[in-house]
Amino acid sequence: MRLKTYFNVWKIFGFNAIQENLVNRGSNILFMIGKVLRFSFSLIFLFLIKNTVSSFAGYTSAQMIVFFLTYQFIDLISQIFYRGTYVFSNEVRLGSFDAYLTKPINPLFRALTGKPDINDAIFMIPSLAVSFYIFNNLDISVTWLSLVWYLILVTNGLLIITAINILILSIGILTTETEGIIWIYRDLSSMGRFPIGMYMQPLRFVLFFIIPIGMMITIPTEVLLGVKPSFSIFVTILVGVGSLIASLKFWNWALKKYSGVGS
Amino acid sequence: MITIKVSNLKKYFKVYKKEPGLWGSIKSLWKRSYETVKAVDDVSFEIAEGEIVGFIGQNGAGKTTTLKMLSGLLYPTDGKTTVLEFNPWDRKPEFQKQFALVMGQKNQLWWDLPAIESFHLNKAIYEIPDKIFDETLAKLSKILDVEDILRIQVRKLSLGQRMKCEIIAALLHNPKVLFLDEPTIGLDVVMQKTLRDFIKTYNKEFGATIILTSHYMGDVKELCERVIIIDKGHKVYDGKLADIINKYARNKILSLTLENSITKNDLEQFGTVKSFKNNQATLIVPRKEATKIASKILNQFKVNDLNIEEVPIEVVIREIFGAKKIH
Amino acid sequence: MSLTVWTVIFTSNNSAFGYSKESMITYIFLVAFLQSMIIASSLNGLASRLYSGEISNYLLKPINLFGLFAIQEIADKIKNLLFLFLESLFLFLIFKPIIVFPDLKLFLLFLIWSFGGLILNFIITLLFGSLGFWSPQVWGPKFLFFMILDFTAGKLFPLDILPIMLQKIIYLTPFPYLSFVQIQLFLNRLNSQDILKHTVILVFWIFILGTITNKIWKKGLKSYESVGI
Repeated sequence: MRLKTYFNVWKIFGFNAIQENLVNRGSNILFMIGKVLRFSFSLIFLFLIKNTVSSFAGYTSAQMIVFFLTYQFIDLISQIFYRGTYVFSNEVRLGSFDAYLTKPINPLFRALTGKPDINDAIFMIPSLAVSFYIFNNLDISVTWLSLVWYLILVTNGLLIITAINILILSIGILTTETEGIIWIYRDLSSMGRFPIGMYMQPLRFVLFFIIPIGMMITIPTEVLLGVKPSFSIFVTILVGVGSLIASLKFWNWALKKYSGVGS
Repeated sequence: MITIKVSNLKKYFKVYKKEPGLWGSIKSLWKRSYETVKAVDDVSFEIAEGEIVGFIGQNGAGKTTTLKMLSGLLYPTDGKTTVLEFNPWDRKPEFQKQFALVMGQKNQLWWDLPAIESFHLNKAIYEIPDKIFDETLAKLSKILDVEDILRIQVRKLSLGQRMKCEIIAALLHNPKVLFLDEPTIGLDVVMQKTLRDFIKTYNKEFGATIILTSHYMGDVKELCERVIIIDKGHKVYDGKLADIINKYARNKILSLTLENSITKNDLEQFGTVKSFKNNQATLIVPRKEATKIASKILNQFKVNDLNIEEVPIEVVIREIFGAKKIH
Repeated sequence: MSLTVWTVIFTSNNSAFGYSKESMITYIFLVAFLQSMIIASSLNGLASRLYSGEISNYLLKPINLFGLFAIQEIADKIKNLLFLFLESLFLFLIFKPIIVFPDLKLFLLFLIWSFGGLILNFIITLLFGSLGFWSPQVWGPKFLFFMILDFTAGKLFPLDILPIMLQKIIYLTPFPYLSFVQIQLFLNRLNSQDILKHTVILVFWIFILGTITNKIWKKGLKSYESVGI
């Protein structure tokens, strides 16, 4: 029964986001073009590299492209669903978050999913199509089993990205200022376009265990490609589930610390 | 029936104090001094079902803090609050479906969309059945006269229209308890009046219990029989608005119209002369001696007209806060 | 992104796309330098400041608006320079990279071109900012601009690795003059004919866009004041 309510509320978030997009259609079309440009330039760049450089620290250039596409997919999913994270600290500052807290619906749900990004949802379609096309034409071999594990691990990756978003939201409650953190996170996560194992220590450790971008993108891809994963699947899932639990605990703690803006 | 019960409520904030200047900032890196601000300090009261109670106090007196604790936004440092037999801090959905908090300066409507879209969101959040939603919306928008602006982008509405929509959004689920924090702030006189009338109607029709804070004495005077005055976190008064004057006013105002001209000096022996012009004078006299002084004046001068008035309530309250001793 | 890609590429290869490891490292440092000297701007929020009416406060004061913007911009750049210096020091100590320096004449010209790029970016930013006179929707165009800039100013990769066709199109826009040509000059990859050509084009863009921006602002200010925000 409650689940249905949550679904209904989420539907309205999405529906209203679409309407907002239509209201500001001029801007949004430009956003769209910007995204398409970025994606196509990245692909062009990637293929240029593929044609010039044959191997990267033990990976073939075809494999590199799979890492990139996985990154692109997971990143896009989090943008579509959790876009609200970007503006949340502002809502805390302006007191809208106070209003969320008085409503009979989980404030975390509202903060996290309240503003889905419709542009990215639309962009998802061509981007997925292109990704599949490229993937099919790459010189790699994939078994059904590895594909199943890939899907499981990508789902696990989505848990991690949820946890990271919850972490940012919690920091938003505590400090009402997350722009800097979001930028750092975006920078770090963009390192996930390449297999994390290529980076130097201690960066590598950070990207596997502190901000587990590696668990999110690198390991699923390694499993898909039949490369020996940097860490076992067990550890990966442990990190995924563990980070989600930890972030929820942190959120609850932050909520307790939250003292309201002004008196 | 008691709807809201607050006993010995306290909220202390720890505020970190920085010494001025750059050196102060650098010093604060290793040594920070904290100061405890007692935003609400040992406040108790009870509010019965259907009452409208006004919270009066200066900025930072602790009004909003109290409302936030009653809404479950803030966890009290000490003391107990019960609203509709719930502990607000638990933030149980069953409780949240029965109350609403409206903050005058805050906006919870979707800026780029018509207000009706925000209403639909609240409908989903509060699980309001279609039929009841339609009825309530029709009723509220009729009383507030906003039927034709519900489909206009919120950003294009005037402040008053927006506030009306804001209030509708808060009332769609028919809350039994309503906290209004500065609902009329920034509105023009006509709009203030409309909102006041509406709050009165809502209270009568739905039997809702309402707490209202406001800077405008007008709001409080018109809506609230009972007021609670909070100053620096303490409750200093709790009772009928009219009784404040009996309790706190030390003076009364005598207005005179004199037959023939006298000097200002002649009057000064009786009390403080506040104005003196064209045989018209206002005097401020101690409350207890007002009648005695009046008869003295009547004996001594030829008086055409004499009035004994109470000091305006705003002035009394200002005096309670110790801002200015003018009377 | 750029740093990560190139470190990855050059861990297993000594040269790629006609860039040696050293010149690529120099390239990356120059991009970072020009990024904070030319492209980063304190005026990115200009359009929304205009639309919200914040700027009208300045109009009441006896100051030249563009002069004020320029001063803000210079202050911002000085701040950037400070951070950049600290950052580079840190990177130098860790990676001990070899930076190839050009001779003094080229270096001076590089500084002049960089200054030209700075002015060009200032003008373009003002041009984008002027959108705020008429519309609140300023983030769309700005986002698109940033996206284009990322790829056409040479921020993420050198433009000369692209197919010739694409390069030709990009050179029709002012964007390569916001970093890429300066870097090419620094790396001594231009002949004297190229240098002359690019100088003329840079001046041309500053002139054309400057005139357009000036016209638009005059028009914008008029409509701004008549709305009376």
